[in-house]
Amino acid sequence: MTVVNVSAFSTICATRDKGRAFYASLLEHARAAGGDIAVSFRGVEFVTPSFLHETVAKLLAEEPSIVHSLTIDGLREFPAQELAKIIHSEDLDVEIRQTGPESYRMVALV
Amino acid sequence: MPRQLDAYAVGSLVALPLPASDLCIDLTQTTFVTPAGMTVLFWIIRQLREAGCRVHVEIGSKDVANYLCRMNFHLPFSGDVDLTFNPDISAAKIHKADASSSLMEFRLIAVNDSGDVESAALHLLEIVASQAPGLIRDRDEFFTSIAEMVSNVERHSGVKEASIVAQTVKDRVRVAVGDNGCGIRRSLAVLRANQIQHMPDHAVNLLATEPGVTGSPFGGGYGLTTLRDLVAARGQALHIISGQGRATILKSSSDGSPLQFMTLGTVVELSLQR
Repeated sequence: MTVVNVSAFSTICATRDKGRAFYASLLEHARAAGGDIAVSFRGVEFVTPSFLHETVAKLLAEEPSIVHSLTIDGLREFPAQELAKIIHSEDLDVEIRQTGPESYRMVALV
Repeated sequence: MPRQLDAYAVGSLVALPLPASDLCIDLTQTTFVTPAGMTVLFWIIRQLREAGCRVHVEIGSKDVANYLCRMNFHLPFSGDVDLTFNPDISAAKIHKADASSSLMEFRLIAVNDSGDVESAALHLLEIVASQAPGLIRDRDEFFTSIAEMVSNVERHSGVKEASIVAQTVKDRVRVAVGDNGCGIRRSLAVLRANQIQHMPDHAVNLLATEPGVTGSPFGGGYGLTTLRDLVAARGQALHIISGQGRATILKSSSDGSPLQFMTLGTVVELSLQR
């Protein structure tokens, strides 16, 4: 499994600009992974919905086939809830399901 | 003049022309100032001073004088001899004598990039967490709220400066972020001119809280939505002040022509209960 550590990019992930800056790297990893990929937020002090929108949600929109192989780790309750709202608002036909403490996987709804 | 200068009363704050083109902001009847009220007061004074008006602020309540004093409200105007307060809020005897344990924070910040947004949110989080322990229910919620409020200034206002006011009242913390920028209507008009042209300002401000409205697809537009949902879930309060008719002041022109309107940018005040 390919693990993308967000903390290696930044431990404070608050803005859309930062999200956009990180997205290119995330997309590259996702395309190169060829299998399961985990986005890990362990070690990240704060992550906002705006950052998640520009990264995880955007990846799901632009690379829908990745849904089945994408997991998220180390994301606390509030940002995870906000990510679920964004995914719903963008009509991505994806649901985020908790699999353990601060761990989630994506489920395609269609 | 309003007894409580808050989000509902800021529209009634009017600077009256005095002889020699001076302006007097009358706070003689005001006994309480909220962060939104203080934010509006700051930007009105800033606008008037940048327009070259001499400004006098007449304060009636000792509590209000103490409040402005403890907030160091005068600091951004240090050395400005054409701005006066009665009583003098920079006086040390007012500043320190009646200090209580409640949190009060006021500062003007640069908002140029992501680093400024993050610094502002971290700073306020640390201040509130250290001075009012127990008031922050969830650090992620609080950080996100402040970051989104400041980020909106950076992304949408067209200006590079914001004011932040934080205040604790009993079991809640109120935070107001304000700017002197283009306001929500003008910002929204870039993408939704036809939709909003006949809408009143309060409806435009409400529209801005809908998901995705202020941005193109995957272009943003969730900042105010996040604040709105947070408030809905916690039974708190969110005030959005932006547009003509709110925080509007009358300015006396130097050539004696009729009074003209000036408008403020945007103020967002969030009240979070423990």
